[in-house]
Amino acid sequence: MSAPRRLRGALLTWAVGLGVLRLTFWAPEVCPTLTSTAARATAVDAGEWIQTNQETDGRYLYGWDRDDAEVDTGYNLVRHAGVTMSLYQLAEAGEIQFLEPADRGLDWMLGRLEPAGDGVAFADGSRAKLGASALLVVSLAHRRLVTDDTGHDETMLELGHFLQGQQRANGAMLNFYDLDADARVPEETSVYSTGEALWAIALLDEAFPDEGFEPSAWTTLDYITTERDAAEGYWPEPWPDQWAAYSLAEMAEWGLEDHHVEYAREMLHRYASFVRFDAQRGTTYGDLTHGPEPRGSGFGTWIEGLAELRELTTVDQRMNDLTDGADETLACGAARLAESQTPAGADVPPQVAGAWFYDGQTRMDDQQHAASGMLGAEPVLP
Amino acid sequence: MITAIVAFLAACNPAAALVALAHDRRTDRPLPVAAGAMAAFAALVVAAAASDAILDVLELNLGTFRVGAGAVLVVSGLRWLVAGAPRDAVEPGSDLRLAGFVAFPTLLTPAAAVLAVSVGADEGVLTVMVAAAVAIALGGLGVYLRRSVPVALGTSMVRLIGAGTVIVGAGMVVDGLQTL
Repeated sequence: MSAPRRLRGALLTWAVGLGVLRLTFWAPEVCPTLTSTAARATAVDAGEWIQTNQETDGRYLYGWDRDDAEVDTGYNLVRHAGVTMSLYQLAEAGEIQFLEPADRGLDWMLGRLEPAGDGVAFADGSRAKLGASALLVVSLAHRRLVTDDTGHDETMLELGHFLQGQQRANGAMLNFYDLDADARVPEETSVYSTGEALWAIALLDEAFPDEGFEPSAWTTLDYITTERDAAEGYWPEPWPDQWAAYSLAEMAEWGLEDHHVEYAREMLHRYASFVRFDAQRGTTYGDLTHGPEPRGSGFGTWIEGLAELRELTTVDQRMNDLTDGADETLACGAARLAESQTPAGADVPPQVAGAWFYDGQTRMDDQQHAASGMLGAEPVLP
Repeated sequence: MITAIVAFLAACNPAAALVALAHDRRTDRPLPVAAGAMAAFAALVVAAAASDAILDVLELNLGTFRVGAGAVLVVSGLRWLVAGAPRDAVEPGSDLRLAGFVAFPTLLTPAAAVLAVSVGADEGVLTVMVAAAVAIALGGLGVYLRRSVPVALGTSMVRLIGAGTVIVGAGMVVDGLQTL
């Protein structure tokens, strides 16, 4: 082969290679600007979607198909509890108008408590799901912070005893309790509920430091940070668990150990890679090379996780080096998420205004996670 | 620094330079070879010095850039590993053309270029200067000493280093995913 021919071949390879890279790995990261005021408005619009579409008994609109103008008649107790929690987060952030719908959602849950183990569980059937009770506890804990009302303390403790009863010796949390058999359902765990339960137990210890919740929290945090992903088959590690992120932020002042911090660092990197990848969808060809945007709930959990871990970087010096990068990534992700919200307006139906749609459909947890994420992102926004 | 040197050795693959003109052994022209090596080195240093500007123009976070750069190393390494070195060329007649050919495409590989930007943005130009100097010097030496090394040995080394390039590239991808 002649040298000039080899040279031409190399130039062609470089040109094609750069073109392919630009369309794929090196597609520009598009990060819009979002102010904290706009983020708050986004969260409030999401809260208003939940409130406006709530039924009088406290139940929420589960889902809505925009194209067929149809209600999704399914329901999910864990999501009900999570949505209630997000309303309390809004109230805690100063949007006190959401306290009333949150309390209605709370009453709906409190009417469905069943004796389970050494306490009570939030259930609507023969099996009590751990996550539902955990997020009920989280809701109650946030309500307690907002209102200083201790009227539900006994219920919180009973729910806490149920949660502790679901804990195995290694810190893993069993996902179900069989109310008919009055026994834990062995071996079944959940990708979500272990972190949900940990956060609930950590909040219980914050509220009731003398009730013995702290050892349970450490045991499950150790399990999540050292063996959960491998033991329960989640790959690649670490599983992006925003509930664990909430827990880590909550427990930061307790004195985290190095392996907890290492896990937090890895999870922060994981979330950041998600956001950077999503930002590359901002180009005209982004959907083709990077796939469609995730639904609001999924994206919202990234922002929640990032926001909590970003907070951890500011309070734990072992993570201080990540603060600037976390700020930048969180701001970018929050701005991207806000952009995909359906704006409210005079002609916009209440089932649509303030919602995030995926394939023409929205579900109540889309608004829940997005609202929570927006509130968490506010500190890094201009 | 050691990591950077290993990465540049993997990205430049001096063994590929060794066999780039393997079957044409007519001349002994050290100056054009040295000039070509210097030009390749200078290009890598410029890429490293301009790394921040390059990332700005591309609108990329360093981590995202590093993922793509790692992919370039993986593909380059796989090519060396599976297909061996590119077919060797006939030695250019003029000194200027020989110097140019040594610089590009022999020593200035795509993998080395993207690595220079990545390391430059992360660790600074000095690290690139030292690491690239080692790799480019070995590559230039390979071109010059091609007469004294059996082609079969050089070809085997190309594949061996190619395997290393794949590993380094995969590591860069993982590292890129873990960069904020």
